[in-house]
Amino acid sequence: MFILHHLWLILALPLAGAAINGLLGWKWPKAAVNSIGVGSVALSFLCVLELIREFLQLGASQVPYFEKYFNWISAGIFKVDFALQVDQLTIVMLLVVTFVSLLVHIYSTGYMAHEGGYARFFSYMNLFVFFMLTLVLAANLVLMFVGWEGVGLCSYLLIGFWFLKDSAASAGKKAFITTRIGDFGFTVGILLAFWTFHSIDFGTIFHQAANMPVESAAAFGTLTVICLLLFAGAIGKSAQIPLYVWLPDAMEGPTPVSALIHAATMVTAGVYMVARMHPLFSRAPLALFVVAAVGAVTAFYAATIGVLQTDIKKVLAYSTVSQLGYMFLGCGVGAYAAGIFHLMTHAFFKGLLFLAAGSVIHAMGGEQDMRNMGGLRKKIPVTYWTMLAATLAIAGIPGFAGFFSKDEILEAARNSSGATVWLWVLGIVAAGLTSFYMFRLIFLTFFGKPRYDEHKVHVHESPRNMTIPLSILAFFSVVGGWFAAPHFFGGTDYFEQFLHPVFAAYAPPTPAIPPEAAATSTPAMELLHSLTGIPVILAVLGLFFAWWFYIHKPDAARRAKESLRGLYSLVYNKYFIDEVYAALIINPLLWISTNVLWHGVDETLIDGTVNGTAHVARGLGGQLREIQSGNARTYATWVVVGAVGFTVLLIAVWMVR
Amino acid sequence: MHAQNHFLTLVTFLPLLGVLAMLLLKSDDHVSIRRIALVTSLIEFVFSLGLLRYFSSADPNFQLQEIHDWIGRGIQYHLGIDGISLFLVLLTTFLTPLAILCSWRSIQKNVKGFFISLLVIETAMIGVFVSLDLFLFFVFWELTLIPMYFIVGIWGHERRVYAAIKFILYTMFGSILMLVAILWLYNLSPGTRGLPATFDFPEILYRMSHGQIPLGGTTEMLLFLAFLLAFAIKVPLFPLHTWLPDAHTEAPTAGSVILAGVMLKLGTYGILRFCLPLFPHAVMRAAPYVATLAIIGIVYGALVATVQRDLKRLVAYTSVSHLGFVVLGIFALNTIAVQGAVYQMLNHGVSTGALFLAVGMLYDRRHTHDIKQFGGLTTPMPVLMAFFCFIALSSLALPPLNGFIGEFLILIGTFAGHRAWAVWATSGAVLSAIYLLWAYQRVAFGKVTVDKNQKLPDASLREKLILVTLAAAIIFMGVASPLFTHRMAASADNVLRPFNQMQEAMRAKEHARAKLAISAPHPAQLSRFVGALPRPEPRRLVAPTSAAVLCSAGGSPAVLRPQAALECGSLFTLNESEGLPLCCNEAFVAPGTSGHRNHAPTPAALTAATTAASLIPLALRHEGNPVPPQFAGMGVRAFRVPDGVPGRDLLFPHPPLAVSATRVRHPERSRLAARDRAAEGSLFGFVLADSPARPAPASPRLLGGRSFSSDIRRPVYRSGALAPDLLLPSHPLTPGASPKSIAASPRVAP
Repeated sequence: MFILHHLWLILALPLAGAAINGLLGWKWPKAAVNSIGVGSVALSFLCVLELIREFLQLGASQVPYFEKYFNWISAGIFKVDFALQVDQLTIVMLLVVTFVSLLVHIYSTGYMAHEGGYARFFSYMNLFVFFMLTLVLAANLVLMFVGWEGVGLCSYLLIGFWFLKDSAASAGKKAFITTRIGDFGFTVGILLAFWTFHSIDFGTIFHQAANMPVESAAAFGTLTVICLLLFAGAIGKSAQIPLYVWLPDAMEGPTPVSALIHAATMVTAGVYMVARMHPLFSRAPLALFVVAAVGAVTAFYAATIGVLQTDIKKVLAYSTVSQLGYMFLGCGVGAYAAGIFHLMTHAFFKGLLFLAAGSVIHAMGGEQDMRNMGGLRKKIPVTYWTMLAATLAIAGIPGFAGFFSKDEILEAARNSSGATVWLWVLGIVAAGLTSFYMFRLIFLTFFGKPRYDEHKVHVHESPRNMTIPLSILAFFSVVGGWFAAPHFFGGTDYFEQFLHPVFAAYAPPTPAIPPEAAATSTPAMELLHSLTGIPVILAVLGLFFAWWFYIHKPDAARRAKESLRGLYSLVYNKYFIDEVYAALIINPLLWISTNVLWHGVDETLIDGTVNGTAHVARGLGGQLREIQSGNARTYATWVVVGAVGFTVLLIAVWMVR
Repeated sequence: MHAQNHFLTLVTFLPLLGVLAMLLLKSDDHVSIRRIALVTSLIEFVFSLGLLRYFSSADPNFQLQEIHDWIGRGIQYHLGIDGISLFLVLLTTFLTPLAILCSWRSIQKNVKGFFISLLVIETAMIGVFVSLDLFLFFVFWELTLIPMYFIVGIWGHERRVYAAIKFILYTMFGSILMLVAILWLYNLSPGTRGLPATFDFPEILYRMSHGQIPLGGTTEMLLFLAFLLAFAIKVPLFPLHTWLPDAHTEAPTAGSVILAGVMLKLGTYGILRFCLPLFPHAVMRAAPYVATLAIIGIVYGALVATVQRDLKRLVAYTSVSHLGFVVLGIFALNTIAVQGAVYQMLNHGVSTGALFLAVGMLYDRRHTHDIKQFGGLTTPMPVLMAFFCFIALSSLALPPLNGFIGEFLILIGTFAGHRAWAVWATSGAVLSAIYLLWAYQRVAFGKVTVDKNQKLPDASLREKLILVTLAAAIIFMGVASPLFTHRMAASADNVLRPFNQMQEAMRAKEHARAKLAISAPHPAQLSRFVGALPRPEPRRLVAPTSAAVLCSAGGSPAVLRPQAALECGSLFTLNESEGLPLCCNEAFVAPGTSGHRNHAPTPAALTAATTAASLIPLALRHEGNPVPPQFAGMGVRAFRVPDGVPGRDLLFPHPPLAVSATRVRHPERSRLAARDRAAEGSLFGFVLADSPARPAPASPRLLGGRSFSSDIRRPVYRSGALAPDLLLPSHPLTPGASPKSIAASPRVAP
């Protein structure tokens, strides 16, 4: 029980790594930086493995396991402890975070080998792991918020890692500010939660919430408001409509960063938060509906943009936005376990896709535009095969990880109550689009004839420290979904079963989602149903169209583009959302701040008054000074005027009395 | 103990020893002058840490007090600290060495004068924080201005004269009004008891809170506004802030550090120390307006900061925004928010001080603050820019750094009572990310755009020392906040005591009302209960001019009609003219009827009783309420019902209050009498609806003291048997009292 009793070790290792590399690493050789940077995460990963062994020995009554270290904030009745907790949900997240982090760190030793700021990179990455683990392990809302903001900081630092590029610096800033807009809601949500429950500890909040009735969607109450506010934070952090705009820009960061932070872990924090706060969400049907609707719409919307992107990483970025939408759809229809399941499989295959894309970019000497690639299949076979595995997984081809998790979500969406049927429709259409744009990516990159100058670009497979992480992730992209596989043959979903204690503990008395109906009774039918289900058909159709447009009839794509010029330009330009935000919000705000507030109120109105008073005083003084002319006759006049005036005054007073 | 008695004096004036030493040096001996200044300020810092040793966090009172007669006629040399001033003193002594260090090379003109000014300012600022005599306070307050005037005016940049004059005129304007208010308070200080007049703050506070210094609503408001104006200019509160950007932009780095780090806190400290405890009612009335200004300041300062082109001016505007948070926290009148506000003062001192230091380091290299002149500075100066980034993150309240804790506590505390305020203020947290990160990007990121910047040297050892110290403070304050808040909690509660009492009374009222609304006693049952009360001899019956009501403090909203009170039945009357409360339970006098009749209380009379009872809280809460004309000339009193009254728990649930309404014949006398009774603690509140001399129903004035304890003449009541059914725990007459407490009460047991 060593790790259980010393949970802080899991956090302290990456933090120490970040501190050592950040303070001393810049004068160390790369090998030393590597061993600190990778070693700390590896040790943390081993700690998590040991933690799981110990955790499985705990009795049901000991979960969630809670450990308090010190009092961090204390004023009046508001107290925040540095306290960590472990339950099944935490375990899943810990495993995903440390495992993917470890692989990405190893990969980075190859990918970043020729970059400046090597130690700085690993320092930031370790710091990210520290904050992400804090977020996951936190036992109260405020500590979770610390991790939440901390990963945002690391995201900012790492997107802007190549700070000499203005676009990278701007993208980092945009990411931080956009997520902060969401955090506005998150902060107010914490305030409201505290004054509703008089505590910010998860245990206390959930316990009290469990005694509250389920609110109705029509006449919603405090719980719904809290959930919606918290979800605003998730919208920012997990890049959902309308705050998704930062994620595609975040691709300015080094590719391992995109893989770890902007695909596998940080962006899924919102999903984790919703799942963590499920006792509240489950009692706020309206909030749940909003979660599901935002998720489904984003899944569809981002997929349409992904179809026309030409930058290999941008395609993956929109794909991430879209897949995150699926996770929210799952949580929103009450299938939290399915959402977390998709989070996990997505971490494998999307992490892999990014790393593989990085390997492609590495091979192409920095080229990211797919229009300038093609025919790479033979030249970088490991990258090709691993990326293909991930693509099959994300497209939802049966047998691969993504199939199981996505299917569970769509199943849950279909089975949930009436109003959400159209969400399911959006979901399956997005599934078809996903398959299309992913195979489009594969075909454009790896098939066809090379569209680059083969004399200038020397395509080469990546070194082993990059391909081994790819292979490991490819393995998990294939088998990662098999926890749930027996479910499709009428057996148990081991993943869901593992998480069951978490989501059953505070479930409302009447579950929002009725348990799946009789379908499970006929395993063969169920299997057939899933295999031939509409999502699978659409996925295959997507593959087919991608093949048709980009392999079979390459001209077809151009013709389609010309015949649908308006729509094409709308989607190609990402619906002009960035421009709309600039025109409607940013520019007016800057204009008002400059011209109305600063020049208008500050300089003209207030300072005008202040200086005006001074000028009047000075002017008056100047006028009065004229009286003091030194001319005796003038003085004599004034004496007379004064005497007369005084006399008149005296008489007037006397008469009045 | 005696050894410590002069500790505060020592801490306050120690910097002047350094000044003395410097005076002995030749003015061109720059090296020695700098060293003496630094060493003095370091010794001062170490000494001030000693305050922590002697400070007891459990004691809410002023500690390490020192009192000596100074200039006769009530002017004393009175020092002392509490949990609020303690940390502000430490902030001062912490920042001064850094300010001296950062001026090491950048000040070359009249070095001696500069460092003397810095040390004099240090003494003056500490003096402001530790003075407990209003006169002494004012002296120190003004003393801070003069050296700062010189620092900006002599060692500043291009428009330094304009900035210095603007700074001093703005502040002096406020100070003069404060001086008037201080003198006014001095003249009021003898109070009703004719005690010797004094400037002593704790003494005045004691007299005020014990009702010995009568303040009308207007007087209190005027005094409050005079103090507030002086402090608000210093803070600065929107729209009085325009001196700040100019002063900061033109001041040398050390001047900005001291100005932003400590001097702005003189304002917020003043509000906390003087405005809140001395003028609680005015504060309650003004709070929404001041808080609104604070919120405007938060958003406005942030927006204007965003579009600044001058880096230092930008940082100056962030102060407007951050100090808005502090003022908001103070006027949220809640212990979490106030502790957050004090903490935020410290954070702002460290973080913004650090920002100014970093900007100053850029200025030392390039002699400009224009953001356009920078860009891509990370390439030549990675270390300096890394610290700049860290400081900016602390300033934008990134957890777990210091700024987060202050801001979050303020938000949490404000949200308790004023959700909209907190939500508006939260938007400031979003904006802070925008202006700081945008500015940082323009300064640090991208390629080097100006050739001169290619070869700028990175942070020197001296600069690294400054930056590392500040970074350590930022982390320490972010991680170890309870070390601070535990020490300031008692003092914060002390400052808030009057407000907590008002709020508690209100809460109790609402609580009782809510309960009564659920199960209001049936009039018939009430009358049976009254009938069962023992009757004293009806010897001295009261004249019809005097009508008093005794009833539950929890009037149900249904009986709030003032007309009902017109039919004013009285259960008990007080005969004011006799000077003795006289009980006369059979008199139910309706106005307009002469004499009195012995009859059972009518339901209407009982309703009227409840109504009159609800007057007190009404008057307490809404002082602006118009008085029903029927109540013109009525004094309404609330007093505590002693334990001995049978059935008290039944009728007076929360708190056991009785209310009497009496037509007042000698308003001034009654007022004074009420004041004395309030001071004794027997009276909870006294409201004079209006004096008969001026029959126009003006707004009622709250005059009374705030504490209460039992002091009604006991012989008036005798315990007697009650009808058994009144004692049943499930009886509807037991709205407030728990069944257990009734059963346990031996007096009411049959």
